[in-house]
Amino acid sequence: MTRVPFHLKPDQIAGEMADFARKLGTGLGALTSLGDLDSGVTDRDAVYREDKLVLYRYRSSDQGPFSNGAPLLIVYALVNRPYMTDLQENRSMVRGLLDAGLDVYLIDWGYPDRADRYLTLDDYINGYLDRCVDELRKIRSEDKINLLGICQGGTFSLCYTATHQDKIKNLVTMVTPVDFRTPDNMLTRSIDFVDIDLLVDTLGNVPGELLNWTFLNLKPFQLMGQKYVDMLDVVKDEKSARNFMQMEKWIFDSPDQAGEAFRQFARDFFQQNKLVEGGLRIGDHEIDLGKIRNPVLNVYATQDHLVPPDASRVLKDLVGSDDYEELTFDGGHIGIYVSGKSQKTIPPAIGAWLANRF
Amino acid sequence: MISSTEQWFDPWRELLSDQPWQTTLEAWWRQFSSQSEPVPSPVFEKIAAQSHSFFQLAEELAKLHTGSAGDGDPGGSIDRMFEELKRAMDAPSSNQSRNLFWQMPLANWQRMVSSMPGFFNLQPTEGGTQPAFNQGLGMDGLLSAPGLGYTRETEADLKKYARLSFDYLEAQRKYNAFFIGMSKESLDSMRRCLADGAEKGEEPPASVREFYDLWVDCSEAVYRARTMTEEYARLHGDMVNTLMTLKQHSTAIMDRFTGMMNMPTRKELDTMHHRAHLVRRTVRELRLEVRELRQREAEMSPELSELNARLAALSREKPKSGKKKPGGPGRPAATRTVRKVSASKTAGKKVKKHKARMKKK
Repeated sequence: MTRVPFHLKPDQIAGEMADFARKLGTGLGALTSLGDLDSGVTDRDAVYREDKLVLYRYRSSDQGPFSNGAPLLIVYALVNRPYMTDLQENRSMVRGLLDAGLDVYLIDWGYPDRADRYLTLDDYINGYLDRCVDELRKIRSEDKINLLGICQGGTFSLCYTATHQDKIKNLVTMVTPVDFRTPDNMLTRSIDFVDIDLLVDTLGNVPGELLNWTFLNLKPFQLMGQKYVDMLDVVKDEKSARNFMQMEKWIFDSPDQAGEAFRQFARDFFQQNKLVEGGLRIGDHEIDLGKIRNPVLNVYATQDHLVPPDASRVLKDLVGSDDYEELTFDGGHIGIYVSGKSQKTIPPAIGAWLANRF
Repeated sequence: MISSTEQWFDPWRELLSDQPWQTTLEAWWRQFSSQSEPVPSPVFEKIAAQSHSFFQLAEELAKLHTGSAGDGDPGGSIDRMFEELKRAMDAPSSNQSRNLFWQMPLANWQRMVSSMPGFFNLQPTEGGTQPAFNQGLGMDGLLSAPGLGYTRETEADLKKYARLSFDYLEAQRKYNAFFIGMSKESLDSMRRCLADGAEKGEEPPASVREFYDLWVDCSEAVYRARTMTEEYARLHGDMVNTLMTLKQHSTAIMDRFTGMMNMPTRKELDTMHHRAHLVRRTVRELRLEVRELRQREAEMSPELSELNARLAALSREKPKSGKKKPGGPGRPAATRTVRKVSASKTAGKKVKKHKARMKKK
């Protein structure tokens, strides 16, 4: 057996611990001086409300006319909150899209409570989403709009576009799961033997805490441990502390999930993979991705641990569109919204792609 | 004879005995927490927990130079440290203080479960499940005995609750055991990684931090490999399913009590929510239908106006056409009217003639 080397001396260890304690003091001191944390930085107006849903229109510094064609509707996931797309001044995908000349709208689904327990995917996709699209068409007097679906919102956007072709001009999907049963999908694996009916019948709505636990458990030692040790290396002042805490706030800001919608999503998408295997129905509509004839831009992250790249890439073989393109981001599921690299590349690329399909 | 190096290490050994850093950290933390109200405490708790793990690792490494392990051969004693840590992991799950950060996923599960309404924290104790539910004591059979007397239903409910708690604790025990197995594997993986690096001539970790990062990487790799197995998926499924069965039953018990107090039950509220949802859906569909009908009406409005105008015009034209074509083909009603008129006129003339004749008489 090879001898395991170990060269650390006790004085070195003591010195490192002293340094760690000093950083801990500095970091915690910076964190306590923050005050309130804002959610979202770009000015916006609510243009439509229904139940807990709000449709926002973002104000551009350049108040139009919008140079980049039809309005763009961002459809975010039900899981977590959409302010991730507009987190901070220098970390805002929304701002990047506005700068690309787009008229940007976003659906905020709100926080479902027990009274929303019976909302189904049909209510979300053919109900709320469809009415938002109609409202936007009315506001802009356009027959068709552009759709940008993010994560689970991308899956919704695919289902919607497949059944409402007449209302959608171009479709952009971002870190969107399509094939839920790729061999590297830890999330799917973890719920293979969970009785989803029992879970929903028991809990009603599925608590955000349970989802948080599930997501953090995909990389528990990095996400629940190492991150907080790393934090002490980067949090040195109020600005860096604010960056850290904004992310923390977002990560743990998980709305409960409406029970019936969760039941269908977990069973039909995760467990039975019907979007790929076929047989998926949302309300009265049978979902066939082959019916999507619109131009499609599929954006995915190569190091995404939540939505593995293969789970997104399969879309190429499923859509009926002749105009399909992929945009690859060398980073993870969160970095694609907030990293400095993504700010410089992703929104301008989406803007350019849409401009070519004016 | 004590070497000069040994003499130099002595003060450090004293400093590193009895976990002074962790103790200091905890004291400092208590003081700090009392002054940090504006910041969300969960974040601070996480930072505290990780700082604690990091300090603990440092102390484990420092011990290689002290006490029984401190034999002047830290390279050799690191093997013993791994073995000691592995042995410590066989301690009861409630006493896994040396399991460094492998307690994290389990602790988070407990925290998550505690946050769900209607739960108290059930955790397996030493020897596996709660002693009260230990099958060896025959509790399983006792809990299956039928209830008697006026409170038999309540008794049956509570016995079922106890049985379901037992199922959940058993599932949790198996899940914990799987995690302890993984944490031991991660130590083996870490040891392998260090040994492989040495064989390749790579430098060993030059700081506690590098050691910690390597441990995290090895742990993640082991965790990822093991949690993708069917064995894990089944254990995880069992733990969630047994918990949900227990929760469902406890809700039913609560419902029974709230019903007895003449308060609305969860089941009743669910029924109301469901009905409200269906009504709202129907209202939306009807609104849509009304809107479509109105739209259709609006679209047909010019055509309807034109038809109305033509009808009105036709109505005005009626009398003229009646005079022009009395009794013409295809207009029998008009013909009959004309005939009636002419018949009555004839009759009237006859009456007048008759009256005139009578006057003359």
